[in-house]
Amino acid sequence: MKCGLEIHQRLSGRKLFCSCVPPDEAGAGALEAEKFTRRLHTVRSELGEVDAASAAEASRSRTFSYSAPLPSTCLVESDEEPPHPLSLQALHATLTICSLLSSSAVDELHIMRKNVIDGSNTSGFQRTAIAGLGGSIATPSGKLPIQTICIEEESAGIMEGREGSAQYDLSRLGIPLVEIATSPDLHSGKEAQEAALAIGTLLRKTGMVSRGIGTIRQDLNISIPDGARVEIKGVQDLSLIALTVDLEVQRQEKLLAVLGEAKSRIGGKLPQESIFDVTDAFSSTQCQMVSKALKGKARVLAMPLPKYAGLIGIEIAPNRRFGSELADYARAYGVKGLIHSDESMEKYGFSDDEISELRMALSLKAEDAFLLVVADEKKARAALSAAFSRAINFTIAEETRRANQDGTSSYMRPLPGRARMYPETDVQPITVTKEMLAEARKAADGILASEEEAKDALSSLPAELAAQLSAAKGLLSHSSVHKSRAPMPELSTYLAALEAGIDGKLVASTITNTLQSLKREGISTRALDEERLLSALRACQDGIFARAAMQDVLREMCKDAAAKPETAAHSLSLEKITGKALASLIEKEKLDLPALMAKYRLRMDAQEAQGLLKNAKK
Amino acid sequence: MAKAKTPKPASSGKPGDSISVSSDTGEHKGILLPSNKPGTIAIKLPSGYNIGIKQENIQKIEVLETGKLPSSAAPSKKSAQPTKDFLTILGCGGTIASRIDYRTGAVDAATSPQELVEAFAHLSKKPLRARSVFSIMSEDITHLHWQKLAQAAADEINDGAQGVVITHGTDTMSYSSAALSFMLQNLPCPVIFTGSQRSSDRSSSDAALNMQAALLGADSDLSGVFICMHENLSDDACLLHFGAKVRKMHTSRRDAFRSINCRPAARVLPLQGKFEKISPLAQPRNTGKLSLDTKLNPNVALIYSYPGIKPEMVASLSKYEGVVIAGTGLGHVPSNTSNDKDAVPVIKEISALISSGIPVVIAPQTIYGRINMNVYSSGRVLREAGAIGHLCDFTPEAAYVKLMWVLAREKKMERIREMMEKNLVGEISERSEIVDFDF
Repeated sequence: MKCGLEIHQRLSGRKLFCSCVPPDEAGAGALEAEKFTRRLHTVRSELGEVDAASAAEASRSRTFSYSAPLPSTCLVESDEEPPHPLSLQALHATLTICSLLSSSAVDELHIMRKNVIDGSNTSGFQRTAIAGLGGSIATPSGKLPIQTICIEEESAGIMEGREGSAQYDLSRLGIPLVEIATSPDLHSGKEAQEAALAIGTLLRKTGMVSRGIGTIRQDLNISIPDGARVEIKGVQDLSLIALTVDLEVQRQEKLLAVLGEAKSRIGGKLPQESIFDVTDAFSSTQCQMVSKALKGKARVLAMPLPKYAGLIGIEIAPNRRFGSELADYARAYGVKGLIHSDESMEKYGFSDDEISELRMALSLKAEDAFLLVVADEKKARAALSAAFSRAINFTIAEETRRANQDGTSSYMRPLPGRARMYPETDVQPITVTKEMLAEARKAADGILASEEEAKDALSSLPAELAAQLSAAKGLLSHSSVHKSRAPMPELSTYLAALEAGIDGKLVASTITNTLQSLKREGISTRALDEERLLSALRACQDGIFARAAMQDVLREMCKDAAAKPETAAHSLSLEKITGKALASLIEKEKLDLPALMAKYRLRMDAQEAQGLLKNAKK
Repeated sequence: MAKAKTPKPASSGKPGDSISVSSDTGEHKGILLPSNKPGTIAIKLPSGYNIGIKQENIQKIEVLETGKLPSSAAPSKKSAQPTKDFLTILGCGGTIASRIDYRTGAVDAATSPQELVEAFAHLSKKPLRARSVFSIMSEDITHLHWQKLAQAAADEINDGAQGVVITHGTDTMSYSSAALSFMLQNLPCPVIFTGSQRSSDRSSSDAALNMQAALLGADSDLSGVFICMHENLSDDACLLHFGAKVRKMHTSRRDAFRSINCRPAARVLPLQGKFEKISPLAQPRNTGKLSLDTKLNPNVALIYSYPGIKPEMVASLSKYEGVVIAGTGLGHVPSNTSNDKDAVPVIKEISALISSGIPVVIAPQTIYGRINMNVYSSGRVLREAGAIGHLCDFTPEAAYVKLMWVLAREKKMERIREMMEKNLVGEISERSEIVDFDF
């Protein structure tokens, strides 16, 4: 088998073709949003071809609803204004990544429109351009060649997908993505997962990418001998890659066996497609799903699959049968699902009489199977027809599939071809200048150098602390002043704090314990960069607040990006009680140390209190 | 990098050929595309992506297979034109009929009306006829085009068309619809302009809904000239605006067209096949005789008044036979009634134009609202000088077209004033309704 990866990573900064800022930077929450609905149509590419994937979507004729939150969207996302110039920050990040992967940048970027008419782009296309060609990434199993590095737009997030319609939120649409496509030189799930990890790690090192759930997405291109190229989209969890690859290989192998068996049973002559309206057989059915649907305009349509008895129920992936594949094809035409004769009819609540009447209507023999769909007639016919074409096609189809949570995948649409692309005429081609390349090389060199620096610094630290600092990754946001130290801000802050004469233990415990605790509380530590954390450490060391209050002060500083440690301590009434004030407090309270600590733990140092208590006794 | 480079002849391969390019960035195979930039070639890679390669970086181009770029025109078969109970589509170009020009990379007017019929026949209950009157982007349209278009619409209606749909660029659509409102009077049926704000080569184009609504409108019980475009950002409703009382109010939104100082005539919901009359002023079909009169005097200027407008700029308008000035506020130009030392009035120059027999019409540059030259002394001065337009709420564009039409018929200043200040084809409303500003 052969497998290639497509890694999509969101880049930080403004959107690719407008000045909107992505939602997590603009501030989330219940937002005022404009709503509108659209319909998309199929069009020809510049080569006069209609893309199979687009045609498949268009034949579903769906209405899309959009919600456009005001702070993070404008007329560009709404397809109501031509795109603004491409974000140079995103281009710089992409060229830097090209440089890190030894990929050659193209002389001129041509922005293309890639037809996507599932509604996830209001325009009906995704804007994308090749920025780099070639290169490689080091993985545990050797150098993996890179094919292309693209810069492209993120799609809109789906809120609800229903029969005949889908609802999207536009706040995500247009966020810059870098897409790294490797050559199909991976030979196992494990190799694929390791390569994805290597690329993801490299991307994070740049400090130019977004972090958090959904900011990196892996697509897999998988093919086996006698099988076909299949693209599995949207594997979000890195740890699922190996399983997904292995299950896809298994699916193709098992599917080939099922199809081979079907072919030999049928012999040379392909069965004809015939669809029967069997609604009457179910007019008084106990099956709730059917009786409910029949109250509306739905019909029950059935189709014979001669000699397929027993084949449709064969499992080709965990909890997925050949029938599940056929059902996916049917669903692409807007029906809720498909019932087949290898399933338990009792499960649906059908009576034996209903099923024998159905089998009679279809003139089925024991070796024959049937497919059944309940939906409005037009949709039901299209759905059955699609399932039939899949069933009698004895090869693996080139497909785009959606990754499921359990490592399996479901059919989405045919694999798109080159007809899917046509030029984005609203944006002029962008020349990659020598200056841009030089800046990218400089940034890449800086990233590599600081990685070395980080390695050196870590190796000179006690092993335990080094491990803890490494594990603390991602707790601090990148400080704009220390670009060269970007790869690991936690380490860089640690070193800077030592340089500033702050107690090493305080720094280490704050980074490795306090920040971790805040993260576990669900507090976003994004607002803390090196500069702000240093100011808090300094304030603590200077006795503005007690060490025990560090977590509360930092929590306040995370919530309010403008808060200084002094003001945070003040507003929380956590200013440190020390020196004479502490001595007179001890005199007044007349408590022993444990009682005193219970009452004033956050406002004093235990050591100082202990010393004062001893003095008082004397 | 010291590398010997042989300058590469640009003639290696022609657009459509499969080529292999060896360059500094590696070897690239693909289809050669027409280049739009000297010094760079563009190729389409097998993945469908295009990339640009600098000539100076190219070592070698090898033609692998000759080919040509297919024209993107859909296969088109000639069908017989219907003769009874039909609607006619008149093509004038514009975005609705546009597609990409691969040479320039820009969007150009191209599609034939026959293609439009093929594309839209299923949207109409009545058989369709189609004719291309001209095919240009609407910014290039002149009064000669309006005359041809009015003639073509009249011919179709006299030949039995039950309604006419005109596909037109949106930039100057409201000028054309105003012109046809004056030229085609006593219309027995609807003449409906439509267009699109997103070209029909993209799947999110607004063309389909606009066209579907326009065809429904053309088949409706209305008479007169209208513009039919999206009502809002959704692909569900279109509005029919009165041809002489509408304006493009946004550069890019699909609901760019707004009725000005009146309510729209009707709303069309094509997906539900619904037609809702909105304005009581909308007239039903009738059996009257269409009167076609396309005479225009094109020697008219349309300018803005603005802070700092120079007297010599106004004086230079003496070479025209009529002038429309989009005045500020209620209809003003700098007149310095407060005798400020820094103010530069242009009243004297306007007076001179009028005295020499050139009518000067004032229209509102605020677009919304009515001219009233009685409120401020600057308005009164202008009116005393003989400026026309008092109490008119026409758009500057409708006033411009109207002045061309009036000047082709009347020579006397007093008759011109009378005609200009009287509503002829719906370009002036008598009442300013509260809701007029909401549409």
